[in-house]
Amino acid sequence: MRTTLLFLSLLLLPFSTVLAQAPPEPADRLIGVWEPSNGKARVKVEKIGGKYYGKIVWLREPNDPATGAPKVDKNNPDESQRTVPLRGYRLLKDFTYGGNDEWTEGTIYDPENGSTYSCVITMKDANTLDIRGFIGVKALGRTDVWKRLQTK
Amino acid sequence: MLRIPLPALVMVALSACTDPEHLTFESGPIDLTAAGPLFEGSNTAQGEWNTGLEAYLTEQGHSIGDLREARLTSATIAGADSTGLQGIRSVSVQWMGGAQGMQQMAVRNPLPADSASVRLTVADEQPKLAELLAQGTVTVVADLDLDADSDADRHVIGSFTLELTVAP
Repeated sequence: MRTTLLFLSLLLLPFSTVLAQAPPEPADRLIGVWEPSNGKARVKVEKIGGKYYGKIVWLREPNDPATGAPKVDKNNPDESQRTVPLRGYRLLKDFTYGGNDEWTEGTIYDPENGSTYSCVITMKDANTLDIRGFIGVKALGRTDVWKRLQTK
Repeated sequence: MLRIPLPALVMVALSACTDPEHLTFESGPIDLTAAGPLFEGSNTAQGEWNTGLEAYLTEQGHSIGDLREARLTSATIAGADSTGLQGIRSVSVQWMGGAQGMQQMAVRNPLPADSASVRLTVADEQPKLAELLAQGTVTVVADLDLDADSDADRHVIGSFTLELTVAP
């Protein structure tokens, strides 16, 4: 009996090793820490409830020069929420993976003017994202290139 | 030809147009967990809230289809143990679920030092909240700004009060 179990476990070992080393599902490749081209912030993408969200985890200038206090979302159109800390703020919201290295159906928020735009994320390679924000028509938008912080 | 007196017609019309009813709905305590290891700065705590709204409305003599509007009126975050909210500098709460995107619901920044429980400032803008609640399950996300790293999980308790507008 013991010999049979040992034989079975040896037989299954290669399969369990393969499973343990299986690459993340394509959608989860977005998870990680990314830096926009201006280098002012770092954004951590995480998965919540099956969708993808990106929050600011680092700011080159974490404090407001006018007050000396940590920056807050002072341009939020909802005045009641202008004390939300900018470090920790979710710029990217509600993205779903649409295949072909694209995450769609999401929005991007610009804290410098308090505006929210429709957004499509395209993974150019494992460490590069095209982030395209637009209003209404995707063709009429602006693309920024984000780089993965810890390169794979 | 049948002749119906005008006052009778008015009475029928008035009874058909029932005024909306306003109900207060409490979430009860919702456990929100930030899984460790945690780092200084913003950490995501989350929990699922099975609202029980359909059962509540049935108790009140309504159906879920009667829900016209919902508004968060009060949001409280409390510590889950004796440490209270120690080490948490600020809390920002968002809700999401199903097809409804994540929306900002409440914030408190900074937290008073060594609080056990704090009331948050509720958002003025609360779009499509009735649609979100009608789905039955809401994912509650709380961003906890921590003042130090920690290996352990962190639990806080969220409690919410809503005003519902219902009409048949």
